Amino acid sequence: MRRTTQRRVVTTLAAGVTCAALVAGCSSGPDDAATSDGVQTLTMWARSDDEGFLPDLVDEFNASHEDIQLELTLVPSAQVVQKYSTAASTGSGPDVVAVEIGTIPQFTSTGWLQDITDEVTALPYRDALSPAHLEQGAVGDRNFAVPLSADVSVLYWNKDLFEQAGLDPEKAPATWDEIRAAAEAVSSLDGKDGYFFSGACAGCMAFTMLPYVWAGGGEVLESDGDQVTPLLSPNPQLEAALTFLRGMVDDGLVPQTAQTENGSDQFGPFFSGQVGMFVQGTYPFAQLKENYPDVDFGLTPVPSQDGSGTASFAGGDDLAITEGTDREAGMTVLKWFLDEGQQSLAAKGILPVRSDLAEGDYLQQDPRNAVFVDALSVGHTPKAAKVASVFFDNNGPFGGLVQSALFGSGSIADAMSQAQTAAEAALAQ
Amino acid sequence: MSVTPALPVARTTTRGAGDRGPVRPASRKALSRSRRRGLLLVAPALLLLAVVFVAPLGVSVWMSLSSWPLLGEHTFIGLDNYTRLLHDPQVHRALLFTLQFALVITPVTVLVGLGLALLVEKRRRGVGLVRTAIFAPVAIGFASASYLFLALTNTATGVFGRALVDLGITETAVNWLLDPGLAMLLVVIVTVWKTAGFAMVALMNGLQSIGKDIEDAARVDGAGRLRLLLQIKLPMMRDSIAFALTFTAIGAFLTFDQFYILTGGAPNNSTITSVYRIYNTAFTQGQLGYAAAFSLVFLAFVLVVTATQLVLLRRGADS
Repeated sequence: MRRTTQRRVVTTLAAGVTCAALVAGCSSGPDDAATSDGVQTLTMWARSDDEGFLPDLVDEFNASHEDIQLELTLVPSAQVVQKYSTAASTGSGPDVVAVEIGTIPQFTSTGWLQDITDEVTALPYRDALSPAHLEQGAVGDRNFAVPLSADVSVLYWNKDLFEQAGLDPEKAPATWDEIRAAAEAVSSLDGKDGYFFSGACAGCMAFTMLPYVWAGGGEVLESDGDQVTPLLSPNPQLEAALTFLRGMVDDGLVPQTAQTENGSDQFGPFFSGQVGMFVQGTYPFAQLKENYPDVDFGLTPVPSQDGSGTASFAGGDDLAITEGTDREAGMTVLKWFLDEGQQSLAAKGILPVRSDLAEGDYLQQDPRNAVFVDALSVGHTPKAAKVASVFFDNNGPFGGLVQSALFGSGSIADAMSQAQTAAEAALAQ
Repeated sequence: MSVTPALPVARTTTRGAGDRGPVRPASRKALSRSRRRGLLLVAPALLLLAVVFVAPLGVSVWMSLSSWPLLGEHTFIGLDNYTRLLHDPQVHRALLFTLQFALVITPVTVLVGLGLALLVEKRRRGVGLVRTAIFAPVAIGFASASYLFLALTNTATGVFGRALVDLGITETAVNWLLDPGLAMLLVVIVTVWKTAGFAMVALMNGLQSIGKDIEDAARVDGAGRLRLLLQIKLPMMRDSIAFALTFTAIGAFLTFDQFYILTGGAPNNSTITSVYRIYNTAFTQGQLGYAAAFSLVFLAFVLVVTATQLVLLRRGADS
């Protein structure tokens, strides 16, 4: 009889444990805005790159609102597209989401974001909002997102190194020849290099190299309604930009680490005074002033080859409300970020997405801020639902193009046509 | 990698099993009752298997026959994904690179495992500690190990680079991603560090199952240590070696974490394995259907290679 009882115990235990395991394994339901005591809590996701300013803004929002509270989660930037996509497709995403404007077209036409065209049109400052941001968050003339933060690429130069190299430290390089000459001069200094870029980071290269192409009037994408075609080959402006950078690499004006820098250390060489110039956004500007006051630097818009035009990559985030969220609460959040939020940013010396707020406080902070405002006005963003998989994926067509054209043994023209084929295949899906 | 040892078959009886030998169940009712109990106990495992393996496999097959974007609607397209696979150079490169990597890593891991097993098979003082130390890396995940080595081998801040320079072996800190050979070497080092322990345990098992009398007999016949190893011990360990080789090879084919974290495909997308390409296609390119098709083709590929391996090893045993 002991054996039967023993068996019964074992069977019951086994069944019980399995049931518990299965129940525990069930995932929780989709994230819904929770309401308790009349306080609505909205969940918000943003990318980890926004760490510098967004948590503070969210705190300010929460301090000034009793009925709505925001719960911010920062998602690692490299995994953003993937995490947002999986959350969106399973309905377990956040109520409010901040998406990088380069990648938001992927989400605007999927029905995941709420159509807020009417509210946006009614905004009194609508015309002062960054056009690039609004365009990226729109499908046709319907708006699905509003601007949240702006980042634009500009050319940084180290004034101390310029002076040591015998160049005028106050004169910004205005043509490619001048950049090249400055790079040569700085490279001749012991242990210094003239120019730096993150060659293994596709997104970084899009941000820092494509302005050279756009400044010369070139394009890398062509949109015709729903049809998006890559224009990577033939493309004379792109070829010229690649040749320009390749020349500097071949002549040793660029540190070797540029070839393998995959985005994890974009600013180190400039922060430590090792390189003379690099193209970057607003983030290192704040960092340099706060943490590296010894580095004397200047900013200038990225020029075309002959200096007649300038351009920048308009980046940053758009803010959107996901489908199923309380629209009124969501719009309260969006409007706060567009108004008080932008004012707060401008007061802190961070580039606002509203040109009417850029004057005054923001420009007072630092005369160099004017460069960012100018750059935002000539900001471009490649617009395509698949832009991330073509331009921002390190293993994608553009990443491969940069590696082959700048560091490979083949010709730039070959690299460009290979990238064109790969990009066409990626965009065709 | 999990190893499920063969369980001894349980005997069911309604009376105590005396020394009269196997007792047949007293009635058919008792037999079906015991069978039902057996099924009941196995049912959770079967359910788990069905939910975690069979169902997703079925869904994968359905996805592979569809155009299934990560975001948006999916449509049935029949075998289009498979025909696209046939002509996709990225798929061919990924398969080729996976094969190359497996061909390099499998013998290296098993040889290192064999060397380690020979070192630690004898019961000496402290050998338990050494065995644990060698096996410990097997227990941590590949992602953790990769991040560990990513930090250690960082060109600017890593300990290894600094150590090599101080020892005079290199002039400047090694930049592993500049050269495809170096990138591969880095991954080989990390993988061998992490998996040699498993091969060691498997081979140690085989080594220790060889009776001491065989060793003594061979010694009496005048066989030296090397000859003893090569011509007597290894042939007797054939099963252990087959096991170690097969499991190491399967693990090598499925390699993803190390390349994703350590090299990111660098230099110039030359270190992308099949699973890496599948992951990239599914979650970065957002094409789940195409990725599902590739993963099913890859599954078939691995099955074929593994079956071939087993047949070859078994045939060797029969000869």
